Amino acid sequence: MTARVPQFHVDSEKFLADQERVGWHDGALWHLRYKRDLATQVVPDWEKLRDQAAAIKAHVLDHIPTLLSQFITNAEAAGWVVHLAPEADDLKRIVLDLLQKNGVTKAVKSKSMLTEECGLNHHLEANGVEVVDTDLGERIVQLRHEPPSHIVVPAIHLKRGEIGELFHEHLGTAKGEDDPIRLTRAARADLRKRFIGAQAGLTGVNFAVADSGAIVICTNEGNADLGTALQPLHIACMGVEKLIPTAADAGVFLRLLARSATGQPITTYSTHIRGPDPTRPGHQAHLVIVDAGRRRLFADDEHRRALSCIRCGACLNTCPVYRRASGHAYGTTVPGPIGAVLAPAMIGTAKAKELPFASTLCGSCTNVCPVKIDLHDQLLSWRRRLAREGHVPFSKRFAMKIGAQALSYPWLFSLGGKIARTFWGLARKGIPGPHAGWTKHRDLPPAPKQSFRGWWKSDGQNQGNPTNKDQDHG
Amino acid sequence: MDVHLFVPCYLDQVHPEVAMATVTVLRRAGCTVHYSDQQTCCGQPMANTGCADDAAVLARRHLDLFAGKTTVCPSGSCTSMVSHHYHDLGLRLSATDEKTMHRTFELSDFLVNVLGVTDLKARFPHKVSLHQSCHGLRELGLGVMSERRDPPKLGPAEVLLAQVEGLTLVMPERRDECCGFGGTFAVAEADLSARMGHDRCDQLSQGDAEYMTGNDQSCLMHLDGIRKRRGKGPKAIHLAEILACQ
Amino acid sequence: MVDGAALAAFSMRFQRPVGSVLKAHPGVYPGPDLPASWDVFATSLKSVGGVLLNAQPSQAQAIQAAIDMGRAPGRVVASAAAARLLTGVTGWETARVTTTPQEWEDVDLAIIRAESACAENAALLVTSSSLPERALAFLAQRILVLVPRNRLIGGFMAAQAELARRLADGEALHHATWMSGPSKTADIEQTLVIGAHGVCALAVMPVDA
Ligand code: SF4
Repeated sequence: MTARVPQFHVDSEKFLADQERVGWHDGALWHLRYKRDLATQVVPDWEKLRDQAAAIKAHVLDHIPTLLSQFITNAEAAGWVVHLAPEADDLKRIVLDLLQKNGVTKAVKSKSMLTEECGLNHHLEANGVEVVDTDLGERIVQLRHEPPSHIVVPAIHLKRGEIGELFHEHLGTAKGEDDPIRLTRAARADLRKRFIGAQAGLTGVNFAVADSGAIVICTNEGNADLGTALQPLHIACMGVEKLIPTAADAGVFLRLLARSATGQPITTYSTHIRGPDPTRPGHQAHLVIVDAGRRRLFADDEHRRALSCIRCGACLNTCPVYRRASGHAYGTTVPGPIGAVLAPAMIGTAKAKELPFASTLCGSCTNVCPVKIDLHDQLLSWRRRLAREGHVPFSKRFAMKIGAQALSYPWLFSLGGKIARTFWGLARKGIPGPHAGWTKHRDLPPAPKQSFRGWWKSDGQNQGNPTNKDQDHG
Repeated sequence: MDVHLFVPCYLDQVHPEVAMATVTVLRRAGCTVHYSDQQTCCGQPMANTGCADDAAVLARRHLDLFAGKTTVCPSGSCTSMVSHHYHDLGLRLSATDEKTMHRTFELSDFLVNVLGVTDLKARFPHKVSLHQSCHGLRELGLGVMSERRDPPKLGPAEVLLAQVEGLTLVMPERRDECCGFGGTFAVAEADLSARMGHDRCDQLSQGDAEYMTGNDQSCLMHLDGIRKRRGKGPKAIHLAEILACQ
Repeated sequence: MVDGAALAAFSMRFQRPVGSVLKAHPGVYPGPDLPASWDVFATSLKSVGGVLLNAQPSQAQAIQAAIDMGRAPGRVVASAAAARLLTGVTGWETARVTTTPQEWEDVDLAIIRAESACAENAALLVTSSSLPERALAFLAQRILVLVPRNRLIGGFMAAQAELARRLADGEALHHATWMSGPSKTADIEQTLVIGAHGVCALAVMPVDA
């Protein structure tokens, strides 16, 4: 992942400053969640399907060495040249070597979060290889020199007008043109030339099928197919966690992936590829299998299952915090709930310390996840780890320590309560100090005359039916 | 039935009327209500901040105080803390502890699924929208979760509200969207939390609701604070208070 | 060949400790029994932006009409497997075996044959066996997919299981693609645009093979 230190609080505030855009962004993502709901309603076995997917992934995580060796044997038999990349730098070196050896100066690349995470594009560009991202959303953010803000719809943070401006500048569309159809057509025309002119196609991998040495790549745009069927060299990059045992298992994931992501019953193109194309003499197919920090997640018993993620983006779409903070606030390649679960292991707890707190723990992510990662519990368990390692800010820890002590003594608790109720009334419109965060946007409820315990002692325990005249509905 | 009241700390101090209403409702449902003033807090604020050791101290106190009793609490998230999260704190849990956790019920769940009440003789002639708080919904399963495809089954809050004379229930467009409270999140990410609260207030205003209700006063306190500050929207009222009205 | 020692070192990092209880594979998942109905297929296809054509009044006439309809100046090219189904139809050429697939760039309409179709999600299977001319299906502006009428499968679990069996039986497939509707994107403000990089329109016709 990028070396940048995520600053969730600061960066989310930046996005929040434009309240109109926040509402628009929330609506766009909720629309994806809504389509996901509709699509899952017509699948009679939806919850069973999730159970099956989770069980397959759990099996995979317990058997990586066996599956990996089976996969490599079958892949090599199918003609893949397999490379192992223990670190991100190895991936960059292997890919650049292959491109240079083959005299490649122009490459096209379909979506791969892994190469994004490893900073591959930058490395290739710095060494004289032009890499064009071909997924429309990725192309848009590439032209803007910014990272994707979402793993499935990378330019979801941008409005059509901004994309129109960008295309006017780079693709020569008419000034002020902001019609999505015409903008898409302009990108199509430009990228066709690049598909045809490229000497190599780089792709990611959605699933690597151990029993047949096939990789499965899913796109809606057809860019991975055009980015592999035309160029003499194909390099596919995959994280080791993409392994699945059998081609039949792929059916489970293909039924889940697009429905969770966009509400389609399956991605438009779900392509299995095995090695080089025999109809094109000289065609080469290389496969780079990457660790790049995944071992740290793997070694962590509490968070290993986060490696099951199939990058559908559903947890981002449903997350009420992501929808209002936007992906860039997370400062990691993968944002949202899953991003906040992966980051502490991938970039270290010190750097990622804010991310597990960027959540209300509402649990919606856990419920949508097609592979049943217990995302909100994972966030909670990262919070515990952060506290143990001393990464929770002192103010928070101190408050909790004082709170826990006061709350251990009922008399101290009720005394504190009495004092607080006295001052509460004075502070209703704006408490100074650490709780100003509360009163910045909200009024405090009026202080009750008496606590419940006070009432119980004086009246409650003896009354048959207490009244509730103390209610404040004002 | 003998029930022991577990009153979340902030309810005790800030919203005693909700706990009082809980007593009323439980008594009306035929229960003998017990309350120990030795109780303080379940430890949820500490646990959700990651401070497991601090939470564990309070959890131990709580478990010892309520040992083996049937406990009822008018808050989904505090109930969930006891019944679902005491496992996460590194405590050694005895069989009695497990029983205590297991016998800790959220109020609406207890009324519908344990007591099986069919009519509490409540009357509340108003339009009310329901906010289903996340922990009660997604951890305790107190309702239909919009994300899941489980067989449809009304949640206990909906069952109870349907029994209230004169009450018209309106469900918000996003049935179970989070209100943005999230404990310390409300203070640490105040702007985000407030934006979520505003949006939720808008959703809960749909259908001209006069009141918004739910089974977690913490969410309601957050929503009502926002409602009062902006001067529009339905008033917050805890489910127990509606059930106590006659 | 990957170096054995390098693989061992790499694998070591993902080895569960000795004595861990390892989870077994949950077994083959048959999925629900979904009807192999062309009506269901048509509904699925419509939802993903494709159209279903009937082979009426005759197969040849229907294909001819599909070719003539909205005829652009570009070429009409049929894959070798589809060509066998085009007797009596005019105005098309067979894709030649080529090592430079770029030459299909100016194809207006591609006609291909799918090996099976799935009602659950309108996916059509093409593989290196039925479509060695793979790029044709992606470079053309529009595509007509002919599917043997008796090759409709209800649920996708069953459909993929069939493909899995072929792979397991050692059929040397280089590629196998499930195509569901024309290419599309919603990357600009969530507005669905049909025709991203692949075909801009897709029609399916069940035929007698
Ligand atoms: S964690 Fe689950 S929901 Fe989130 S992207 Fe991964 S698979 Fe999808």
